[in-house]
Parts: sequence; C-alpha cells; structure tokens
Amino acid sequence: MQVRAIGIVKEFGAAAAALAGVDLDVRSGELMALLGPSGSGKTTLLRVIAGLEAPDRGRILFGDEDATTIPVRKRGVGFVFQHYALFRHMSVFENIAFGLKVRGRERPSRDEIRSRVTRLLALVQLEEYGQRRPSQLSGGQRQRIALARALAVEPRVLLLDEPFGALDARVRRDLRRSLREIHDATGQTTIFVTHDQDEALELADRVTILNGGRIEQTGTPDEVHDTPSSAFVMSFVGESTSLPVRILDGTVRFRDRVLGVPGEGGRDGPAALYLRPWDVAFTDSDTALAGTVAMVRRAAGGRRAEVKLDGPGQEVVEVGIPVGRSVARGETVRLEIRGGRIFAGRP
Amino acid sequence: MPAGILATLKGGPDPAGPIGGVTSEPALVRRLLIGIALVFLAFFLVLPLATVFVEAFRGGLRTYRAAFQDPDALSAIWLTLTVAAIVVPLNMVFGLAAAWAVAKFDFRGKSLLVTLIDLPFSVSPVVAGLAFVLLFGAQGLAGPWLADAGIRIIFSLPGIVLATVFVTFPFIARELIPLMQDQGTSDEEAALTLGAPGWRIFLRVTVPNVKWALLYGVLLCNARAMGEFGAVAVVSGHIRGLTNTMPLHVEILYNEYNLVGAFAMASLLAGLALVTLAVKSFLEWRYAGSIASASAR
Repeated sequence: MQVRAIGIVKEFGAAAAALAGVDLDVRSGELMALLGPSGSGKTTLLRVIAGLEAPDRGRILFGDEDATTIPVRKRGVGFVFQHYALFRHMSVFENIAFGLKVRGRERPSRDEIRSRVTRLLALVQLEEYGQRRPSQLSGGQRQRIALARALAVEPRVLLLDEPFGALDARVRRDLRRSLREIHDATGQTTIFVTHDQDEALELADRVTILNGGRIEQTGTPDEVHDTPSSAFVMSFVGESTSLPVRILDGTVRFRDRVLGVPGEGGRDGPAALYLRPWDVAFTDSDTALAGTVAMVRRAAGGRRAEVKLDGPGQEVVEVGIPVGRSVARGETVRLEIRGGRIFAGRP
Repeated sequence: MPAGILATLKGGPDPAGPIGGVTSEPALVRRLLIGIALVFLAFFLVLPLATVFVEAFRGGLRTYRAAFQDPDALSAIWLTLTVAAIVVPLNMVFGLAAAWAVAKFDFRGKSLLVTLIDLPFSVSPVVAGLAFVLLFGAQGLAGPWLADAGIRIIFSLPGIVLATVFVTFPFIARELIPLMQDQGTSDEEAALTLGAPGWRIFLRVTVPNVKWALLYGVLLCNARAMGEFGAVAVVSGHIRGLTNTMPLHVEILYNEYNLVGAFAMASLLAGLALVTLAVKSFLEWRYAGSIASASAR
C-alpha cells in the first residue's frame, strides 16, 4: 500500500513536536526510516499517519484513498509503540489475538484466530511463549510480540516508533535483521522512526531525514550519506567535521590556501566545507596543512585522529587513520584535503 | 504497609543494605526506637480496640446478642449497609471518570480539578453536612422547590447518601490518578490501532490495568462510608429506626448510658474495619506479583 503525506502541518501540541509542512511518499512494499534528532517531529509524523494525532492542515493518502478523516480503529494501521504497550494482564497469545477478537461482525472463527496467532508466533520465532505473560519476557521478546500483535490485524501499513530504542546493542542487531527478514517475507509497507543513523542506514530501503518539523532529504541510504542535500544531513548522517572556507572564482580557499576541492558553482563568499574522515589524508608534503593530534579514538569502522590545525582558528578536523599507520597523541602531522562538500553559510 | 511495619519491628541490619550502612546505630538506640514505636502502637491502637471488644462482651454473649435484637439497632445496621451499597458504586463511577479525565487528557483547569478532588479531605465533614442542609433543607436554597415536588432530601436517605458520597469521594480517585498517570495512554492507543471500540478498550484494557488500585480504593471508600459520623450527623436528623446509621446509633446508646449496647454496635463497626484491613493485606500478599507488574512498565 502506497502511503502519502501531503502538506502536513501540526502546530505544537501538549507533548508532540510540531510539523511545518511535510510531504512524504512511501512506495508500496517499501521499508522507510524517519530519521532525525529528538524534537524533529518524526514521531509526530508517524502518529499523524496512524491517525493518533490529527493534522492541522494537509492530507494522508493510503493508495488513492484519502485516509485523513478515517478514525484510527478503521484506518488499518499496525502500530508498534516504543515501550511495546503490551496488555500486561493478558497472555502473549491473547495479546496477539486481541485485534482479531474485537472485530465484531467480521470476527474470524475461533480456529482461524488460533491458527493465525500460531503462524505469527512462528514468524517472530516465539512459538513456545504463547501462554507467558509479557512481564515474563525479555525486552527483545516483548518487541517481537508487539510486532506480531500489530501484524495480526493485517494492516495496510506497519508503523514502528523507535522499535529498538530500549534494547541493548546485541539484541538490537538481531532484531534489526529479523525485522528486515519479516519485511522481506511479508512485503508489508513499513515506516519506522529512529534517531539512530546506523539503524536507518542499515535497515531501510529509503531514509527520510527530518529536522525542526521539516524534511531535509529523502533518499536511499547511499544517497543521503554520499550526496547529502544540506549541511544538516551531512552532519547528522555519518561522521563529519567542518571548516570555515571562502569561495572565490570557483575555488575553495581555507586561510588563503586553495584546496583541491571543486567549488561546485557556489556563490563567492563564506561557506562551510564538510569533511568525512576519509576526505582527509596524512601526507609528507611540507606545504600541506599542519596540525597536532589532539586525540586518537576507535570508531565503528576503524580509528580516527582528531587533529587541531595550527593557526589562529584552532579548527579541528577528524582524519581516518589507514590500517598500519600509527599515530600518537601530540604528534605533529601534515594533512591533505582530498574531498568534501561545500554548503553555503558558516559552519 | 504491614510488611514494612513487620520489617521495622524485626529490626537488625537490612540484609540487602550496604555493609555497615544506614542501620549501624548502636543496639541501645535501636531498641529504644522500636520500644517507643511499640508502646505508641499499643497505647493508641491496640488498647482502644481491645477495650471496645472487652466492653461489648462484658455482660456475656447473651447480652451481646440481645443488643442486636433491638429493632432500632437492626434498622441502623440495615441503613448503613444500604448507604454503603449506594455510595460505593457511585464513587467507583465518579472516581474512575475523574481519574480517567485527569490522567489521560490535558485540559484547562486540570489542576483545579485535582485540588477539588482533595476538598473533602480538607473540609470538616460537619461543614459538608451543613452545606447540604443549607442547599436542600426546608429553609435552604432549593428547599421550597423540593417541598413542592414532594422530594425529601434532608433528614432522610438521599441526604445521608449525598453527605457520604461527598466525604468518601477522594478515596477511589486518589488511588487511581497516580497509577493511571504513570501508565500513560499507549495501552489504550495500541488497542485503538488494533480496531477496538471505546467501551471495549475501557473494559478490556483500562480497567484491568488499574483493578488492584480500584479494589483498594473501593475497600477504603467502603470503610469510610460505613464509619462516617460528622456529615451524616448533620443531615440525618437522628430519627430512630429511620435515619440512624450505625455510628449515630452508637452515640445515642452511649448518651443513654446503654454501654453494652453502644460497645456491641461499636464492635461490629470495628470488626468491619478489621475485615477490610485483613482483605486488603491478604490481596497484597496473594497478588504481590501481579500488583508489581501492574505498576511496572
């Protein structure tokens, strides 16, 4: 089911962050991540799609149907809450069956409910746990049950709010994989909210980055990481440091030194040069930028050196340390800038 | 909490506490503190309670039983049970509604509502009773209109019920509000996304989530509804055999120097209170696990 949000505006409510005109297009069968810092409106957008919040302006479309005024209970969404919101006085089985049992006239038969719940328990690999109470399960198991419960009603779209937020690193990794597998098996259109860029980049088909109630960029993980459309996306997705530069006649200058980075038709004047750790390299050239290593640390993909540049600004850039090269704190190094992206304004 | 008192009485260092930690006072200090607590308990709680039962049975079991043969006594017991049977369900509805409104919604004047819920705790019950007399009594604001309609409120059952509802209103609401606020609304939202209609969410999700707190509130409300004196005394008119509740009847018997009768009736009230406490403690003990998981996230 294709899900579209058109011009969604939501003023500040009691608890929710505002949305200032958001357009979102989630393709049928897609796994979409809404990524942003806290207060960016990502959860508000998810709740508006679910119908748990009413937008002040704008429309929500499910396929060609206008879903804006369809009440939550008829909208056909599966929602997985951040703290799971499992019904604590019901068994796992009853939790999953709840959405089927409350259907009134279209309620499936007893046997059908039983076989469907059993199938879902198998899908989330918790066949043996049907008679347990939620309080007897680990966080990761509760998360799976919440997912199974949401899928039980055969929703048109599956919505997950910070699905792995409260879990430890190992469980998160396993759950990410199984969410991906379940998604691939069911082909369910899925939107999930996260503040964790690794989660979004690893799991999603496409990522939408929100900031201050607006969408900064929507694209595949590669697109948002490699060709960010704004300084915010550049600094929010992936590692980066920035330098204040000046553009003059299509060249990028840092303290009157011309860098080997194309100005990309930027307007003359002050700008910000954003650097990924591998945009900067150590060099032996005497004329290159000089600096002192302030800190060496281990990041997810390898080691990084924070280098404080000599000179008046004392700017800090982060350099990826190639395998086999040793760098010590306090060492004087020379740096060559090989790439990076220019954005208007100061960093 | 009984368990808490028990732990205090046992004394000694807490096995879960830090080594040489907070209970490292000398033995003498410890014994002194425990002793003071015990003497206080004995003097102000156990002794009066024991006196009630001793005095009630002073004339033997036969006199005790005879005290309940009196038709006025029977009618007082009956009236008290009737009032409790009306008041407790009413306050269950009011308490749930108020707690629901406070915990699940944001609206203007919410803090005012919370303050108002506490009003019966801070106002003297006599004042509350008087307020109802001024409203509904013969000389009261609505008095002439009620008289024309042939409705009698003051000096009859409706007045007693009104006064008791007012006095016992906070018990259930106060028990529910913190728990419901703590639980938030996501369980209800989850049920909503699963397609459940509102009444079904209320019965299958909201009420089960607060059932223990609700039961506590009902027990406390019931105990107070049966024992209320001040507010009821003002509105009842003390008509023997008609508008006398058990506490009022105790006072009348006492003033007539019928000590055995007064204490017999008092022992029944005290017995009801003890049963309420016992039920509460039993439930706490028996369902400690599910109570803990109900208040945990």
